[in-house]
Amino acid sequence: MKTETWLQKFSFELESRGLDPKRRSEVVVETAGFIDESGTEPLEQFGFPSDYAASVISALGETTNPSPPDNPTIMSANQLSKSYRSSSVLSQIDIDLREGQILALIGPNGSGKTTLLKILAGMIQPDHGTVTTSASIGYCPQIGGINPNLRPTEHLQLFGAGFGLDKDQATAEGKRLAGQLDWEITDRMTASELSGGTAQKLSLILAMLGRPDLLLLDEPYQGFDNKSAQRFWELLWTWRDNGGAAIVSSHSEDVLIRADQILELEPTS
Amino acid sequence: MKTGGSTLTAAKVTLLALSRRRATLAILVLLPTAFYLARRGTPGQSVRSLLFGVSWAISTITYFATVEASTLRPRLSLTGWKAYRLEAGRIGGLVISGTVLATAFIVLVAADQDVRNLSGVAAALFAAVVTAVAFGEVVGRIVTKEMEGALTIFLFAGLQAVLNPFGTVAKFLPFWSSREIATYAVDGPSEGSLSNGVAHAVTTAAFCFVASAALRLLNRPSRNKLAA
Repeated sequence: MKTETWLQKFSFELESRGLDPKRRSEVVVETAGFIDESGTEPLEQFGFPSDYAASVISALGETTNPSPPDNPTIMSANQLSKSYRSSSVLSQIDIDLREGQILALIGPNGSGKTTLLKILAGMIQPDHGTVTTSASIGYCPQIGGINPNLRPTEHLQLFGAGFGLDKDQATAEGKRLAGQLDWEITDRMTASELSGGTAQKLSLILAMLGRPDLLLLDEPYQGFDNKSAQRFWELLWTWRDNGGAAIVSSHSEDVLIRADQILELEPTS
Repeated sequence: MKTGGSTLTAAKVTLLALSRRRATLAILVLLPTAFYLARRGTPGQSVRSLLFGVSWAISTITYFATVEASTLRPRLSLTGWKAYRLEAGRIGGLVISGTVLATAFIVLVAADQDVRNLSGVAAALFAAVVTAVAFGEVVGRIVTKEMEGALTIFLFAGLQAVLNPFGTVAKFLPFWSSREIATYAVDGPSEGSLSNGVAHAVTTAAFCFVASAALRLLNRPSRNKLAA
């Protein structure tokens, strides 16, 4: 890993842990000085940026959860259970998500992450339990959810129409979000011709269009390169800082340190 | 712009997506044309074969459009799209596509055959388009796996082709109406009945669209309880 990349990731990690910009800048500059003086690779010297950032934060005594715990609840789920045929997928799941919080859903394949997100989105019914929310919801599925024969801006205009956005508004908003994910939208290709990661960015942008109160994101950055994955988290943190909430399912370990709450699901049968 | 989307936008999107499926469009034209040419020597049979090809091709395309839309529909509903506008727009777009195709075939029949009632042939083609869209739509609601759905349409189309059109069972199949109207147009009122054909087309389309709407309502996303 190049020194610049390492430092950039380190800075992102410090930011994600709520370190204020001034102190973050000081720490990064100081660390860069150490690297320069020692002449060794930062990965060799300090380890992974996330690990080192955690150590620094711990040493500085900084908080890692910037979301106020007394914010109003945006969605709650009570004792959710779901079975397919006789096979239990979810059992007695409780969620209390507040404005300005990111909840990470983790668990192995088949642990019910996608099923839970679909229940929370109101797309399928739980067998037992209730979901309570008055939030507007943006949903990004793990696969699909876009029309392979439409171009990106046509998707933006179609989804924007639901919110009452005109074509120009929807396109401008979509392009702004795409820019934050390091993607410049062009209309040369249909969705089926986009790379997997780019199609996923489109799907994510469609979930964020219209600025819903709550994002339900199912493996949203699978297929992203490292830089885009970082950008995704930056975008989500900004979203959170503006009062939005999100539930993110992921297999990536980085979600553990980037989210405010963790809900670990396990296969129930 | 109003929230909840517009039927016109949904219709435009349907037409746009269909227009990008070049190979599908080619087969859409080729299938009825091949059926027509296979029976070109006999005017009545050629027109009936053409209608059968149109019905089969359009119902299959509608089926796939319905299944494809089902992956997008839940997400669009969350953005505020009204489900009935999405459905009406998609159905409208498919009927428009079918009508354009039917118009081209009316021109073909007019130039190539000496039929006694060309407007009757036009009515039969329009009936074929509407019933095929309605049938493809309802199959798409019931059979969501693509292979099974395509075979289901093949089953009904095949039965329509092999069953005696004067028998009772044939009249319960979706594509009987266009054949009846075409027989009236080509062979005269003594052989076919315009009113029976139109009544069958209207009943078939109404039944399929109502069944489709009922299935949509039955399977619509649940509403989460609103927070106090």
